[in-house]
Amino acid sequence: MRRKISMFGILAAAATICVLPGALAATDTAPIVQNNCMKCHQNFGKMENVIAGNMSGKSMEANSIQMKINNRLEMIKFTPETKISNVPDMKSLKGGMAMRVHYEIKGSDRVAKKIVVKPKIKVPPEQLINVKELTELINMGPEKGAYTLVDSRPTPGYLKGHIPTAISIPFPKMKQMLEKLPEEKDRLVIFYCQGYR
Amino acid sequence: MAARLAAKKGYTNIKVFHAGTPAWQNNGKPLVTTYEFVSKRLDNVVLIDTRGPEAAKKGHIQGAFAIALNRLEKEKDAFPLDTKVPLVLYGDQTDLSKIGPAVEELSLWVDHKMFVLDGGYAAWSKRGGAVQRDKIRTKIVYLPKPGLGEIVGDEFMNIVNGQPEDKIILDVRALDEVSEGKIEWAINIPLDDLQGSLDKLAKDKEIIVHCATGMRAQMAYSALKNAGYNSRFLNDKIAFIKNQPVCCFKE
Repeated sequence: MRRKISMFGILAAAATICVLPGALAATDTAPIVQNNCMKCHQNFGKMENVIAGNMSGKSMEANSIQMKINNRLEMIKFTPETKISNVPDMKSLKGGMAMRVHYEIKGSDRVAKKIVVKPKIKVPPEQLINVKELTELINMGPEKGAYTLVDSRPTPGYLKGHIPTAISIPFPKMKQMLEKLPEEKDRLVIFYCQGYR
Repeated sequence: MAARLAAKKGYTNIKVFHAGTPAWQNNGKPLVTTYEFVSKRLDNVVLIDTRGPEAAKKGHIQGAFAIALNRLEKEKDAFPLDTKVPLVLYGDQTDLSKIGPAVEELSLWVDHKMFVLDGGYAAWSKRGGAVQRDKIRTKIVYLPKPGLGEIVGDEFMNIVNGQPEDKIILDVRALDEVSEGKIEWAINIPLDDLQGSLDKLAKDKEIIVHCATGMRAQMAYSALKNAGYNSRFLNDKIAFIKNQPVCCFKE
């Protein structure tokens, strides 16, 4: 996704010579969204004053979080008034968490109004499989264990490291890849991804 | 999400390994990595040829350390201090049944994320991956490569001790932290005040920024870069005993 470059944005860029990184293009209201997120959340592209992606770091001393979006660092301050959902508090935010930050511009800073951490997907308890059960199946192998293990993460994650015997069906492309699922509809199919944090 | 879609398509026997890849590795189990990943990052992984030095003489992946599986645990103290460095183990083939148990054993001792190379040496050489026959190394030596704008701990400490004239050390911690110990010749400007204090910093010197963990230092580094300064930052934890910095350990 290309970000809109407004005349204002250019002026802001020219003015960064004497401001903090949090102030970078602080007048730019176009959403800043990690490319990956847009595969499922196209609506993020229409929001204003939103930054979405993975948190890369947090400093409680400096009251700010850092997000690396499409290889650019974005800085957002937080205050005691910053609302946060799906985790109890700011302290629970950990590097790598996927989140959407709604901010407002105060002076030269972006200040978070609301931080929405990507919620944990609810899975019916009878569908859950644990490490031990999965290990037993993997030790048997897909044929003897009669299972198909599916890695739902985007391709780079699969290439970096997948659970043994898994095949790759990235969720955003799953509808076009259904033929990779087994023909027998009653075969055990196990899905996994990056997990909850 | 994927499970719901599969259910819609008529699949009746669906399970979800909800804790995903992090839980798998946290249980001491290796993930399977690929030629595509490793071949682009030969400098940023520690490769271990688990077939040992004899087999490695006939050919091994470029830069790999030849350590047989039964020697791994003895070498654990030589593993990189930086536990973010992935360890990639390989055998002739994927060899998971052999390498898997060794990794589980090793995971009791080291915190690195561990991977097994898909297809092992056979698949690697077949795909034209970089290999070598000489330079057999049986001891792990890993020199961390600094990321963008980073300075490695050794160089940082050399500057702290050498006080070269072309460098400034900028400490961006808050005043109460600084009162507990600081580098004597460092300039202290808390991150929040940096914007209004840039004129205190000379543009003809390289500004080496540190804080307590690397986080604020990185923010200051970005600000300095944007303002046209020549800068690097220490992306490590640093503590002070009196005014003597103790550096560096990774978070």
